[in-house]
Amino acid sequence: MVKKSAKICCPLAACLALALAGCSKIVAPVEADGLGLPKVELRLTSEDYGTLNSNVYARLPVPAELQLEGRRWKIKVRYSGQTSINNTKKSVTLEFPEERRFRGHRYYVLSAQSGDPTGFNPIIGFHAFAQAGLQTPEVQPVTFYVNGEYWGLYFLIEPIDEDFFARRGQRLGTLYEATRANALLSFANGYDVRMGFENKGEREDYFGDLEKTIRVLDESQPQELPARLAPLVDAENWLRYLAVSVLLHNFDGYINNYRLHKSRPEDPFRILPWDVDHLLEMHPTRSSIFGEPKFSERLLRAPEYRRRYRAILLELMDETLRVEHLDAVLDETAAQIAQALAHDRFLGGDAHANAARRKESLRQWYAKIRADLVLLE
Amino acid sequence: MYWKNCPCCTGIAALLPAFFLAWPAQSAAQSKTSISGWLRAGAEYTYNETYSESFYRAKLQFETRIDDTFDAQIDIRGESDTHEMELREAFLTADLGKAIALEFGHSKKRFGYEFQKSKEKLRTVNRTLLYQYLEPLGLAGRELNLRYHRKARPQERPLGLSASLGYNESNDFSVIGHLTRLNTPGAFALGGSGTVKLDKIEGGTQTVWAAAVELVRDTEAHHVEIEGVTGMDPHASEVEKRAGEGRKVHFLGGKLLYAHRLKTASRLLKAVEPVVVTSFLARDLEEIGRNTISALAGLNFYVARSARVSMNVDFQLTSTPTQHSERSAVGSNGILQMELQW
Repeated sequence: MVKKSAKICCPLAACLALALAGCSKIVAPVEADGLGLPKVELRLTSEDYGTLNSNVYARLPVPAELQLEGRRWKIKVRYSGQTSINNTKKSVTLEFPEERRFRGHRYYVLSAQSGDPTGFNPIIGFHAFAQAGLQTPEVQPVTFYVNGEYWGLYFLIEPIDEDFFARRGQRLGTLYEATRANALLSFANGYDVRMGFENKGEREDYFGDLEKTIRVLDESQPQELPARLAPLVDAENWLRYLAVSVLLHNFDGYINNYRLHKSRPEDPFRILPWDVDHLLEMHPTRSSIFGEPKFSERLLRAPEYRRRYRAILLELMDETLRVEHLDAVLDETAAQIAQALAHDRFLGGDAHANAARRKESLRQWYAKIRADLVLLE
Repeated sequence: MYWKNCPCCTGIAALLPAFFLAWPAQSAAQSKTSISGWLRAGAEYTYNETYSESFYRAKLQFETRIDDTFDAQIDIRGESDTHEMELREAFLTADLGKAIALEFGHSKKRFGYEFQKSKEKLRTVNRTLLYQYLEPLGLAGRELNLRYHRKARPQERPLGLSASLGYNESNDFSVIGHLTRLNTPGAFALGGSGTVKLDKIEGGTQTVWAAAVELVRDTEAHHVEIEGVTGMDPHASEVEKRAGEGRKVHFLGGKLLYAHRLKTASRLLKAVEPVVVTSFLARDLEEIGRNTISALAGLNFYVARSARVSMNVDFQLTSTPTQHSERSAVGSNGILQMELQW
């Protein structure tokens, strides 16, 4: 028995000796730093983490523990995104228990916004669309940790789904997602709407109302378009979406990313912006007063819409989205995210310097748009 | 999703089952299903957490003998965290005789000693530090694979072999081999594993490798596992490529496990098994001073042939990023678990 005990105790003593020899000082763990922002902390077991990483494209959800706003949740997490799912810094979707929702939602997106090297775009983008009168999701910058490792500056973005509309006293109704950078508003060249739109509404696999709208856009003469389109589309909303997209270079939002929604079948379609990570950068073809022609061309052929669009651009540039107002949003955001951005291994950089560059380019761009307003006369 | 969309993969997927089905079946004997599994309940405390957590988990494994050659197996798990059942493994085995078999389906990636066997056959409650590190990297775990294996037999065939080709839903392809030789040296079995993985990353692919050697002694009373593992960390290397200097990050780890089963004369307690494990893991060889040392002490109480109560205390010390001579105990944990197998 003594021999046996010795056999057991020796390796144990070796373990402890090894453990203690390796360190001169045992310190309390450093609390993950929020870097000036709220922290989102995710914990996964090695097995679940392995399953998550082996099923990236299957978007397989795995159990995880989440700490956020001082609360703990047992949730499920999966990777998300369309093309951004290929990126090293991935977005994730958090699935909350039915009985313990987060801000009224079963699902919430923690977005890497990988198209945005500055960390400004989701904040300024959704802010601008909201100021222009569009319905927008809530967005909040956070720092994201997985098993204690800092993944970077992320954004909690409210998903546009049934819960989004329920929170705003609306029905899910009809909801289309513009996807695959192929959401076209014309049937030219035999286009099939299923190539660029996904139906996420109550009536699965139904595209009839969208097809009818596109047909009217295709077939109407410029003068008759407003009257024919009025029951189908909230033109004011569409023109405002176009105007903000043009002012902020939302070049990935013309044939991609936006949502089309109506609560009831008799309502007109309204646009909701989504995934505004590509903003405030010149695009070789879409940075113009017309944006992407595939989105705007048919609408702006109607003189009534063209006049209204011109008025909206002026109103936004002179009042709602004047540069001084956007300067203030940029400065405020820069102060908020500066530390998190500097520590983000994929982003890095000086948020205040980025803000200064954005302000300058906005001024130049607004001047260009003002000069081009004649093209709408 | 990508699996379904890839014509080449779809073709292979269609051909492999056909290959199995075309295998000459010996007889059309009536299928027979056996059910096995385990039930676990316990509590876990993780260092620096406010709460300890209780849990219960169960595994149901159905094994259906289709005929003299073919066998189908599915493994379903459920746990208290999710209150859901999950299909963990599903595969078909063709018995080629003489303990040689071919498997196809979703099953373990058999890299390293601990992944040659099921979790319930381990001496510790969870897999040890090395495997907790390897699994999220996709070097061990589960995926769709085609595997050939030949068991070593003490009297007639000292050499055992396992070789597999795998694919997963992250568009990664892997080749894994494991070789073991009994009684080399003495009462030990010497083994080695190797894997090469074509890992899909942003903007292309990278080739990842890992290798492990093991020395195992497994007798009724004593159980010893000595393992060393090294390889390339796919995640850290991808991050380096994307946001760093582009270097490849290599890891190194080692483990020593000793368990000793002490039989008792008691009717209630059949045996007591103390277990000690010490592990070392450096996640980046260029920064080897930053590493984790783990000392795990455990006790298994075998209350019946198929029931055990286990206690594990895993004391982990990890050097801090800035001062390698300072360590924190993050990751340390204690588990008390009752396990019943059938």
